[in-house]
Amino acid sequence: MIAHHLVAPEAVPRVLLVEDDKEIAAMAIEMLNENGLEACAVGSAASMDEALRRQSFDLIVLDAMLPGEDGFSICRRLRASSTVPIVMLTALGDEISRIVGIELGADDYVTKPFHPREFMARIKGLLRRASYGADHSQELTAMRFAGWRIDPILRQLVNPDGVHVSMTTAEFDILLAFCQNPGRVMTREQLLRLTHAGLAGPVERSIDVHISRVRQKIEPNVREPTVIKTVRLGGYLFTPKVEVC
Amino acid sequence: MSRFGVGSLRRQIAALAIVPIGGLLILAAASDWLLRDDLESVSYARATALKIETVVDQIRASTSVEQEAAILDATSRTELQVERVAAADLSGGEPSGGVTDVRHLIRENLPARFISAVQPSTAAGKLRDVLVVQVDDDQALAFLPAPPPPDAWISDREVSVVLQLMVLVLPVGLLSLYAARVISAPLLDFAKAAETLKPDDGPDRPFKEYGAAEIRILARSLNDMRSRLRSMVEDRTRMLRAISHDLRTPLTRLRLRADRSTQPELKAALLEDISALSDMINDTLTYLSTEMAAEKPVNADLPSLLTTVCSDFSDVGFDVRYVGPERFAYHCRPRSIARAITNLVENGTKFAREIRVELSVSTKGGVRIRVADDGPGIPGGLRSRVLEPFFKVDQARTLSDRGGFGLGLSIVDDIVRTHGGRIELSDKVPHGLVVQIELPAGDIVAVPSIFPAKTTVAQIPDSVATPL
Repeated sequence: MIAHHLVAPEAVPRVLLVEDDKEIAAMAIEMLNENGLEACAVGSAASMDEALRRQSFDLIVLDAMLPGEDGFSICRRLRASSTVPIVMLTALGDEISRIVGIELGADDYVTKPFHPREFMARIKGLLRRASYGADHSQELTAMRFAGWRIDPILRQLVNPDGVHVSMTTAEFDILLAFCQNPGRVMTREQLLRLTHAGLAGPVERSIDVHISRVRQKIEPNVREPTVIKTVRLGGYLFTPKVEVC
Repeated sequence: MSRFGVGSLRRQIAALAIVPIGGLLILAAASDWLLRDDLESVSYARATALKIETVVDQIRASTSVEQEAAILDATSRTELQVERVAAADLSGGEPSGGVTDVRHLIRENLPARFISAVQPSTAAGKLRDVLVVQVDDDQALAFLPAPPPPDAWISDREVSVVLQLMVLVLPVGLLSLYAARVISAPLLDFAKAAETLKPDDGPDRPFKEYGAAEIRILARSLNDMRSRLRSMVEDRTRMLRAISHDLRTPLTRLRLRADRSTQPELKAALLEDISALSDMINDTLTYLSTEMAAEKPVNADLPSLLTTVCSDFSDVGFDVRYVGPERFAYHCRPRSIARAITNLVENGTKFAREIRVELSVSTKGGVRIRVADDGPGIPGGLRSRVLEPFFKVDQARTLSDRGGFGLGLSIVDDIVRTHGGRIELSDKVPHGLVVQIELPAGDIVAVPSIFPAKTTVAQIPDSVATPL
C-alpha cells in the first residue's frame, strides 16, 4: 500500500476539519491558515462526504463526537477506502478512546482542550510523514528487536523478561522511529521530524537528551551503547534486527 | 450463649442438631442410674434365692439324716453357708422394708410359700446375720450368703446402651454437620461473589440461585440489586462522558480564543485558569471512572516508570528528579502507579521548588516510593484529612491559585489501596512534605535478568528509611 497523497514541495497542503462547533472550527481554520495550510471545515459526516467528492485533502481532522454519525465510525469508513492521514479530535480524554481511534485507523489523537502548538505540531508531523510516503499500516504493527517488543497502538514497550518499561512520549516516538528505520543512520533533524519531541513545553530538550534517556532504559550497558550507536557527524544508528510480529 | 449467637451459621445448625442428642444421651444414662434394678447385686440375690429354694426343697424331700447332712455339707462348700436351726428362730427378726442388705433382697426373691426371716443370730446356730427359712414345723435352715460382688461403676448394660446411642449419635451428628455445610455454602458463595463483584464487569447474575428456598430468594434479590447497581454505574458513566464533552467544548473555544489574545498578561492568566479547569475535569473523571480499576496488573519496571514521570515534569521546567535503583521489576498496574506519582509530583510542583522521587526495595520484595518536596508541608492535624475527597488545605498552601477539586490525593490513596499498600504523610526537615507509599511484595514472575551487570538493586532493611 503506497500513499497516494504525496505532496509536492511547493503545493499547499489542504486540511479538512470535521467539527460541529462552529467557533472552534473557525478558530482552528484560522490557526491552520496562519501556519501556511489551506483548510476548510464541515459540520457533519454528510457534508464531509460531499466535500471529499468535490476535492481531495491531504489530511482530515475528525471530531469524535458529531451529530449523526460519530467520528469513530467515520474514521473506520474513511480507512476502508483511503490512506489519507486522520487526526482524531476528542473530548473523551481516556486511553480507551485513544486506542479505539488508533485501531480504527486514526494516525494521531488530540484531546480537547488542545494546546494550539501541539495541535499544529501533530498535523505538520503527519503531513511530513505522509510526504515521505510512509506506510501507515506498517507503522502500527507491533515489532520485535533484540527480544524487546514495541507496540505502537498500546504504546507499550516490553523487555525480554516480559517487564513493561515506561517511556515518555518523545522517548517512545524516537524508539519507534528507530524501529521503523532499522540499520539506517538517522540524523537529529530526521528524528525530530518523525517524532513529537520538543513540543511538550517551554523547555526544549535536544534529541540527544531523549536519546540518552532511551539508552538508559534499553541499553544493557549505558556506557557502551550497542543498541543505539552514535555515528560521528551523522546521527544515530539502530543496530538490532527488527521483526514485525 | 452470646458466643453461640455470633458463631458461624454452620456451627449453630450443627449445635442445634447435636445438643438435643447429647441431652438425650445424658437423660438415658441418668434414668438408667435411677432404675438400678438390674445391678449385679440383684442378679446375685436372684441366683442365691433360687439356690436356697433348691436346698430347702431337697432337705424336705430327703429321707435320711445322712442325706440331709450331705446336702448341707455340699451347700456350705459353695459360697452359701448353711446350718440347722429351730423353727422358733423364725419369729421376730429384722423388719424388711427399706433395708438394702443382700439378705433382704434374697428374701424378697424367694417364692411366697416359703416362710423366712432375717435374724442377727439364732438360738442354736453359730452363724450370724442369717436368713432363716422354715423347712417344716419344728426345723429351719439358717443361710449365710457370701457378700455380693461389688456393683461396677458402669455396668455392661450401660456400656451397651452408650454404644447404641453412639451408633445413633454419630450418623446424626455427621449428617447435621453436612446439612449445615449445605445450608451455609451458598451464603459463603454469596460473600465471595459480593467481594469480587465489580459494578460494571463480570457475569450478569453473579449470585448462584441454588439451595434452600429462602437462600434462592436472597440470591435473586441480590442479583436484582446488582442489576440496578450496574444500570446506575452505566448511567453515571454516560453522564460523565456527556458532561466531559459538554465542558471541554467551550473550554476548547476559550483556549483557542485566549491564545489569540494580544495582551500577554491576560493571556497567561486565562491560559492558567483554563488549564486548572481542564485539570479539574480530568481529576474528576479519573476519580469517578472505572478505567483505573480495569487496568490489568503486569510486571513493570518501576525505575523507568518513575523516571518517565520525573522527565515529564522536568521537561516543562520543574526540578523533579528520580533517585533509586536503575532497574526493578514489580507486579503492579503501571498506569495507575504512574497516575498516583504524577498526582503527588504535580501537587508538589504547586508548592515547592525541588521534588525528589525515591524508590527503595526492601529485602522482602516490598517497595517504598517517597515523594519529597521542599514546600511548606502540611500541618500534622490535617494530614489524615488530605486523603479525603474534596478536602483542601487552603490555609497552609496559599501559594496555590489553581487549587483543583482536592481529588488528587484521594486518587493516589485509592490506587495505593487497590495495590494493597499504604500511604503516609510526614514532615521533611527543615520544611517540606514527604509522601511515602509502601507497597507489598508483588507476586513477580521470576525471570532471569538479561542485565547481569546492571541489576544493582539497592537493598535496604525494612525498618531503615532512606535519607534524603
